[in-house]
Amino acid sequence: MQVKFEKVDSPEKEEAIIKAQSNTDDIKAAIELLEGGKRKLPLIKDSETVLLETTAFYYIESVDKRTFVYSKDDCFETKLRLYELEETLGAYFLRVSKSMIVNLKKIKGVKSDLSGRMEATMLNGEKIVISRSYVKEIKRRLDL
Amino acid sequence: MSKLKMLFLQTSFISLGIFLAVGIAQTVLHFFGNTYATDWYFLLSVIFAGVLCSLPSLILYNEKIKPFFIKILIHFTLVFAAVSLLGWLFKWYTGFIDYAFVILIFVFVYVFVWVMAKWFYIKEDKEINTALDSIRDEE
Repeated sequence: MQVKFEKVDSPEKEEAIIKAQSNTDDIKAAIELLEGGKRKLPLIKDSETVLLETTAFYYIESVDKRTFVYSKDDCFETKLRLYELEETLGAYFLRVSKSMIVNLKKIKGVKSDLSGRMEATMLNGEKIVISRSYVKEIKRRLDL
Repeated sequence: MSKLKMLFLQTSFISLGIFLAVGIAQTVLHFFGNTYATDWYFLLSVIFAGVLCSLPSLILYNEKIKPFFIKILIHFTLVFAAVSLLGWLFKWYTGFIDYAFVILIFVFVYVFVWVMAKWFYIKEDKEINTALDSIRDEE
């Protein structure tokens, strides 16, 4: 891809336009990098709406048609559906089961058991299960 | 790993395990002055056994069956039944001694396949963990 840099004289004029045939994972990663991870989403906590940076998200889970966002030591609810979040969040957010999206940057490590089930330990010590059928996509995202 | 890929790997490991076990047994028997000749269809029957014996592995994906050792028990029983049936069909055994020999090979192959699967998973985990190291956030 051809990249052009044009100097501007004020922060307000700063912008980046990406012209591409499709919004690939690399482009999503570039957008996330340019946005500095400062994108915030409105979440609900104790009936109040709070704004939380997406980089603070550990994982998102759908339970009984309700969507919950988990951070390091907190849980929030969102009106958005899992598939909507999957499209909105950056390249490091990835579906790991039918009901869960995880932030790859918050995974401390993964371990498979003999049944082939993969378990991920998050940075806060929580453990989540990664379905085998999604491991291929994880490897693809990690360029493996 | 998709289920199809898992079945393919299991088929490969099972067939390879049987070839190894029979090959070792034939070599040992040769040095003890005995011979164990296989029939013309033996190679194909082993591959067929690999395919059939890999199918019970789908049970391992069943989330309703818990705990894990129950799955292993069911899996072991089904694979053993498949081997016994195939052994009877392809005449791998004709008497009790032959059958005991088939059981011995079966146990060897069963353990071999699990060891190979574990090795594969460890390798895959290591690859993923190394890649995660480079993107992980500081907490």
